[in-house]
Amino acid sequence: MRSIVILIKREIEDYAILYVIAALASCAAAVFSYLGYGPLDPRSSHEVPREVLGILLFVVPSLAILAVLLGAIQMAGDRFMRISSFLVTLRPTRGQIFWAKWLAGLIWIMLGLLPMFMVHIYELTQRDLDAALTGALMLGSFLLLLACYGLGLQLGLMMRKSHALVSATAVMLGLSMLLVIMGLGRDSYLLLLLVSMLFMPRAWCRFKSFSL
Amino acid sequence: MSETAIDVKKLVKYFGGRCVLKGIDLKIPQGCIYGLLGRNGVGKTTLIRILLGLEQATRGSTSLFGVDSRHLPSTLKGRIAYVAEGHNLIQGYRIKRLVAICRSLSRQWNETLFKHLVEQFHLPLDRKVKALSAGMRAQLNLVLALCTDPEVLILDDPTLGLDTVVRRQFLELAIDLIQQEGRTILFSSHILSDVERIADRVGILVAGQLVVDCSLEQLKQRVKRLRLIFPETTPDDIHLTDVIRSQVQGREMILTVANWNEQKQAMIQALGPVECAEQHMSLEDIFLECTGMPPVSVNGQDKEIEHEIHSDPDQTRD
Repeated sequence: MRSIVILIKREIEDYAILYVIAALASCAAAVFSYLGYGPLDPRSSHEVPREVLGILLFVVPSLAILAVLLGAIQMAGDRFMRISSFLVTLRPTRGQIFWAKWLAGLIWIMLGLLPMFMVHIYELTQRDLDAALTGALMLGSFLLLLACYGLGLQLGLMMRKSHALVSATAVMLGLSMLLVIMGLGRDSYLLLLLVSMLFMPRAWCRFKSFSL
Repeated sequence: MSETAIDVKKLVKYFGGRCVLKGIDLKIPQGCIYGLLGRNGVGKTTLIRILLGLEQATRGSTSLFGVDSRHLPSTLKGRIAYVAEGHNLIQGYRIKRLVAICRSLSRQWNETLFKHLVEQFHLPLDRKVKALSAGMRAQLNLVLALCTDPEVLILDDPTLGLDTVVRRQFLELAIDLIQQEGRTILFSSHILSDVERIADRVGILVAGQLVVDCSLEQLKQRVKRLRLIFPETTPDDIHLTDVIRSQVQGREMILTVANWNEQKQAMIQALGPVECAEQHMSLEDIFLECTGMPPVSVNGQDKEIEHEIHSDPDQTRD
């Protein structure tokens, strides 16, 4: 456990810039969302304001692209800088190194979404809003980022950059289309979860078997 | 020297279609200092990397303290340290960050030794690893490996590319620490004098096969180079097994024989030479003979024969 914590700390320090960007973007989105909800008014509508939805529609896809980038950089940077090949000669196992990467990615996702979510949860307690829609927005955003992060890990392990770029574009377009066509609902959540679950074991299988 | 620290069984490794390791069997007991020798590209580094779980074997198995190398648990990994060829450090990190990571990830960290070694080597802790010279990287790698107080130390050609002074300093330190604490050490090197100074057991890899695996003393006893002078002409066939090389010039025959014993001595005497003198062989001479360096041709009658030298006579192949 101690090793995992040290490895997570190392991951965060190595890619600190992406964590700072995520935190800043999310804090800014939280502030704008709070302003977007406006002052409390009992006569206001029960819907999430369009301005707030607009902020989400801008921030979440941007974070999704950054999540792909984070996953890809974690894996490709690791190979390029031979980080794991050094770490694995110390106490950590390949499994611990991989899980530390994944948990660092999860922390990044939470850092990118939590400030925004907290504003929505706060507004939900203050106003008579549609809780199902707010919940769907939060769950959908989380699963989308998780799927994109998994995609990034997978891409970082691909040897050919051109293949990685084409695959990333195709999958990102596919995921976007999926959400547009299917909307937010159980089916789209399941599909996003499936995509995440598909990328993760694939990335792990490659990571545990390749030459370090 | 009872329990086996390193165990390699029928290890085979292919890279693409090329077979790099051809069924290696090797056991290194605890407390042994094992020198692994071989020319470039014979598979020394591959063997070590498979042993550490950095590379996967095509067939066969490797284990450390009885645990499969592919599934070494964290607790066991903490007992092993590795100094890689070319010094496998994270180049973009400052030394102090690398040290902090090693310190926090190690099972036990010898801070007193660390401070002593940093002072001795004058390692600049604020500098980035990539800004260090090859010698300093080697020193840093050794410092990081030794300060974790490992039970097994694996050194893969650690002095490669170092100048004589740094190499000597490196070895002196390694010898000091080895002698003090009786660790198990697997030491691969091109520099035979280094191995001769440190190792108490040697293995020689030739074309992916371990042709020698015995103690340094046994090796020197088992490989003999004889200078035979015959009264008229040299015999066409000497009917002797394990001849590594025979070189003929007129009445004189230089014969290098593996697995030397009294029986072979008697067979040589039966050939009736007027003179039979044993020539001294250093580890370097033995290595050159075993690795099949082409002999200096005198009259075109040179020949090389496959041979293996193991401490266990059952492993000897005629």
